[in-house]
Amino acid sequence: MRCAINLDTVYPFIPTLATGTTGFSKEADFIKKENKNNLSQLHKSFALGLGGVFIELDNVQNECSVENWDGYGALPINKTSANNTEELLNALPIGLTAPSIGAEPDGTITVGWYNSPQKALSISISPENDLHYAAIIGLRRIYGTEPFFGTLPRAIHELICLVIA
Amino acid sequence: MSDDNSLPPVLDDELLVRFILSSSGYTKDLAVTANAFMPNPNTMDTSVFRHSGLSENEMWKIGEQIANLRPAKLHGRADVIAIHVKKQSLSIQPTREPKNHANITGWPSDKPSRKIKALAIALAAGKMVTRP
Amino acid sequence: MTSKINIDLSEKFQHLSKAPIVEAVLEIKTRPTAPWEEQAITQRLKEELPEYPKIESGHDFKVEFKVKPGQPTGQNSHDLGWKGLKLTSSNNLHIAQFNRDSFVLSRLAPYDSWTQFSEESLRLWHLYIEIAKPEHIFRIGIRYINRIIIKDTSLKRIDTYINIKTKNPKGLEIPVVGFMHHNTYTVPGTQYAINIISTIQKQVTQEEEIGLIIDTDVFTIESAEIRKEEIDQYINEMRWLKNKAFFGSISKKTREILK
Repeated sequence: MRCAINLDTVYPFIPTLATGTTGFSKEADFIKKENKNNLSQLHKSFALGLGGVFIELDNVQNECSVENWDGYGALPINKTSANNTEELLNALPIGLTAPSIGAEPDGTITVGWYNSPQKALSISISPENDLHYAAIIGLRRIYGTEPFFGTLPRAIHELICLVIA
Repeated sequence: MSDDNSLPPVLDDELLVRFILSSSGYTKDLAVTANAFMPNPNTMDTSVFRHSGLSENEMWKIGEQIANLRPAKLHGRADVIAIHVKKQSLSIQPTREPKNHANITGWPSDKPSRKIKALAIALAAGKMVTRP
Repeated sequence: MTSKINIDLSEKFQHLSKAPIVEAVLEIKTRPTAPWEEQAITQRLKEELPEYPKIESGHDFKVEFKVKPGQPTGQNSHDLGWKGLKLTSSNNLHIAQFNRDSFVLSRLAPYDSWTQFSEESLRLWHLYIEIAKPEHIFRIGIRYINRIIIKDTSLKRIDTYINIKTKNPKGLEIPVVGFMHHNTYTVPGTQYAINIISTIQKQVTQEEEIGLIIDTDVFTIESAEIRKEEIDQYINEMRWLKNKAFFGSISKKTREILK
């Protein structure tokens, strides 16, 4: 399965198994844990989930935790960026093609899909929870910034589906 | 390192080499990623080498020397023709030291604009070249 | 094909004397344009909200455990920066959060009324606007978590309490011991969507009973155009949807239990 959502169907937003509005009660905690467990179970599947990608995120954090990790003066990984990346990965629809994880010289984590020399998307996750993205799809070049509040912005989801199609 | 007008300018058809010293510079399929070309956040430039007719062995030796200067592993290199850099409205400034070195400069101030240029160059570079 | 939903704010809903609400939450996701500084904001809130005496500073932390074979377990914790403040009222019934990326007000049990909850929410929200000066609102969420205590622990007849069925696989008559249904709905003709989660929480008390949880979360969709001045209109519409979702999820039998 390449893209969990059929773009021919008009969805006003991307349904996700991630939790929505926050809560403080014991019951809210209980639901959050149950939801997280269910999501983890699905992500363990290498067919449907992103289990391997979380390991890749750990590896990148380890490799890029020191100054000059790229040999050209890169800054160490920003931990907030890494934390935000985990949230972003959890917000991806189940069944989506797994991205590759990397880091940029300014210490932010990147999530990318490189399908072919004509189709690629790279997203950096800033510590302020901005998603800076750049996509090349044939002759189209699309780039910009979307705020991230726990659910995948529709614009980003559409780009992912166009790139992996 | 300072650029010098007496150094021969980088021609459009010259091959430039970006040594990749981190796994962030390529995917599992060895596709070069935008990360490989994003500029240094302090100097706002991207360090490359000019192929300049060097043999493969000589080119790899340069890569090893760079990797040894920092405690880094040489994963491979991204080869890209200079015109693909210039098409992104970026400049390629040769420097006197080290030999055959140049900096890609003129990166825009906003992140997404930098990313799209780096991505275009990465896609033009194609697959990472690994040591035989 | 579903037709447009008409939100009728004049509709009256049955009053439940034993309302099972354990938490009501209003969350507004936004970005401040004013400086977000701990000392200044803490001081301001101490002055403006003396009825919320317990103030906790919120930092995002990440704790990592590194386990390698043959080596002692390592633990690192990382401070990811100041997020905001959590304030608790003196009667411990309200929890407010003034965060860098959101405003939250939560009312815990016992729930009072929509009037009380919405008025308190809007009062604190206006204070948040003064402090943070947000330009855009990205998301509004109204979440009500209900817990209904039922004595039928077999779960066989759960559909007598709520409008879901826990059916056995055909040809395999085995007892159900747990479930979690998470449905997401769009509301045609509006800028809202609804998450309804139903599940059970066992061992609520010492007795043989379970907590049936119905969690309704009404929220604005990404493309919604939200005007700050119209927040009270939005939350009233969302409350109507929340009520329709809740009352539509419970059976007549449950209404009788809660009356």
